[in-house]
Amino acid sequence: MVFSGIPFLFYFLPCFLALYFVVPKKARNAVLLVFSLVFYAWGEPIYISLLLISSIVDYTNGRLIERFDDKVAVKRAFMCLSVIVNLGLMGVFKYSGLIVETTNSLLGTAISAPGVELPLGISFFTFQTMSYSIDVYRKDVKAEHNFLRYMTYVCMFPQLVAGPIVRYSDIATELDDRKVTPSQFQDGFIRFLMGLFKKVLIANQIGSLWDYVIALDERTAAMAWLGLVAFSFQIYFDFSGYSDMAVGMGKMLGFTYPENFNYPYICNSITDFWRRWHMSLSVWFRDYVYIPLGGNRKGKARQIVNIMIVWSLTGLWHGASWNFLLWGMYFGVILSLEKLVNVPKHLPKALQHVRAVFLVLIGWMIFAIEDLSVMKNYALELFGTNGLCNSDALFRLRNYLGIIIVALVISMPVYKKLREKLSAHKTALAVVSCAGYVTMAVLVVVTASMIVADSYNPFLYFRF
Amino acid sequence: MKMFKTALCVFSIGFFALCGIISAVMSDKDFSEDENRSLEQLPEFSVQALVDGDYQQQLDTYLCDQTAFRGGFMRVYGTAQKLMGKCEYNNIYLCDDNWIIDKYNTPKNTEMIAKKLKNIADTSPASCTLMLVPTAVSIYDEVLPAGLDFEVTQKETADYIFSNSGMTNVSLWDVFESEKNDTRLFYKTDHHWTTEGAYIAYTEYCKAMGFEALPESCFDVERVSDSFFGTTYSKALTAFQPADEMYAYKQSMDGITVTYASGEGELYWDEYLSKKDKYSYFLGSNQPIVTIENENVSNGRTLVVVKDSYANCLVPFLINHFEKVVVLDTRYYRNGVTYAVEQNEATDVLFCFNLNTLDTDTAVAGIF
Repeated sequence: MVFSGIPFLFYFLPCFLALYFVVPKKARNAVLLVFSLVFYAWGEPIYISLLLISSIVDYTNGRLIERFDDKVAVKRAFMCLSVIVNLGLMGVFKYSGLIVETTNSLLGTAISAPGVELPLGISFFTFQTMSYSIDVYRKDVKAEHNFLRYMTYVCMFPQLVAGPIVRYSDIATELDDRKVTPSQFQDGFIRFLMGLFKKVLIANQIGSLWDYVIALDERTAAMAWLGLVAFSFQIYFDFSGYSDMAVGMGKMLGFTYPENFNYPYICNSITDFWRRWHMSLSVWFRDYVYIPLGGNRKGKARQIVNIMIVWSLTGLWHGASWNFLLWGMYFGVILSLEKLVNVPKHLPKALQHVRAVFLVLIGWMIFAIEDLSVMKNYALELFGTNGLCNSDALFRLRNYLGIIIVALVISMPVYKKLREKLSAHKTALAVVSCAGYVTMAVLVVVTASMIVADSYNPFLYFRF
Repeated sequence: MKMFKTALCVFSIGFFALCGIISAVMSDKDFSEDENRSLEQLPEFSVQALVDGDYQQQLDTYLCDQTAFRGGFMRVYGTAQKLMGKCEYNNIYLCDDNWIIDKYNTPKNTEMIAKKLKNIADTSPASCTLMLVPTAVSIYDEVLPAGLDFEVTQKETADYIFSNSGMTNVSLWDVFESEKNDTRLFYKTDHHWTTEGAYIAYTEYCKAMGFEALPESCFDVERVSDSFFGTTYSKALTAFQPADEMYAYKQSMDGITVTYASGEGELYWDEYLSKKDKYSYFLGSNQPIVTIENENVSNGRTLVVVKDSYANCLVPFLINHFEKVVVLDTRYYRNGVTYAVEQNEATDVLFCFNLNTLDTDTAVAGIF
């Protein structure tokens, strides 16, 4: 099930909220768990078994690590077991196709791919359960004894399929006992709506422009850049919209999930970009890979190696295809250079920003195009090998100008800044807030209409 | 301010929940006229389907298809697109002056079509005439969004086919161009031409054939509908679109018999006027074969019309010049044109297609 669909919005969410707040507090985790399983089973009934395996393995590991606290070797073995099982699940269900394909093409063999479909959310829940075992091993957190509570942590639907990556330590106390005031609930719900708007009103709308551009046989430079801009907005509003919805729903239930995005496109360097983009993943890799590898404490050379390792893994985490590895390494190189020569700081502010955005856009090209030869063509077209501009590019720009402007404004903290500026003027602030609420009420209806429109398929060909 | 916040939350959650409740309570619909398709019904439960996920998928589609106020939502959607300055989506252009016009995609089969027609022209015992009809996108270019750039225009496509088909040509571009400001040639909400447009085409056809066209005064021009919302509107429902009017040029039917595959009938099907699909009023939509005999004519001529639905409102004019008119829709009539010509001892054949669907029309495959 997706958040931005009719089944979720019109049926699942109202039913869930009604039941969740009607039952006694003690039963709330159970309600959350049951609804989460239904949510997951909506699309992936058999893969519930994977969720279960991953939960049981790490619940047991946690208990055992705690039990053998004084026997470091045993304790370590259980921690390693968790890492092996979780990476093993990822290996089989996410990367086996890529590994087999690559082996075949390198060695000329004809091993048939296992043909498994990617289980929903596997990259997220394996990372969560793995981090739990490691945290228990490191004594950053106490092992959970209540299996229902642990299962609820692993499965809770708000962040099950698209993050943010919530660590057990983030919400351990809230799993046990959490309070929600009406005001918190409302803030959470408004956050959810914001995410929904981002996903439906912007990401889905502008996504069709990228679909159009990438489907063309050839592009002028203007068209290629327009396509990249569209993709950049699509992926940001899609992903951060999902994160907003998750954080918002978490808040409605009394959970504090970590923030995942902080206006990434206003970054002034790539280092800055990665502090603002998919933060829960960067922090995960920092805490469980980069720092254990020695981070920056073992000299410059080692630091660069560490950066390259972390960013290659980050790249591959995003998908089982070599372009994602390339994408990760691309950022690894840029981040290393920024560490070594400190380039951006010498430039004027505006130029720093332009440089960073340019590099991010090129990054999205690598991310978005799986086929390396298509990618190479696209890269050349960006620099005008098929002409600079054509009238179709201008027409597309005109057709999408409204949405591009909206996306641009929303991707900057304009509204936030405006509110800060007005914080001294009570009435002005009240007017801005009210206008905001009224606009949101209208957008709720518009969003519903966009979602309905998605399922609207006029079938007209045979009626002439 | 706090009140506003609470109100927003109550409104939004209530809105979502109410949409769900009303959709669940309302009885399911079988068919959507707006979309011209059957809607998904409540799937049958089975454990196997549940495990495979098929059950959930069907349930998903079912819940979407049976959502209450779908039409209303679609109108909000279209209006929002328009307000955002969007002028192209769903393969249509939202144009000035409330025109909703189908896109013209670059054709791929032009040469093949010309060859097919040439082949028929060379071998047929009857004299062949070709009428290619431009669509609104080619005639009303001034209302189209600025900056559109067609790789190939309809006129270029038509000119190529005209000069390679070996048939008598009836080109409508010049006459439509000169008439377009005085006559409503196309519907604003539908992909078809109007009966007025078809009348002009008829006069052009008569010129090419050496007939004397009947003046408009010979017909009883009747407005048969003032609430027509056609197919292009179905792709872009908006809140404020005015309806189209539909006219019929009626005449005395004494001595004229109309025969469908299903038996004798009328030229005009009144029952469609109360439905959404009002254009089917003319000759009852997609009929594989219609035969019209006119006792008032005795010139020994029989016409076979090979056509798409554009010709449906043109044919009523043509019957005044032939003893017999046989109308074929080659998407449904499977015996081929040559067979129909021989069978009816036809003296004339008219091929009448609109440019927008000509390239992808499966009817062309039926020309043999």
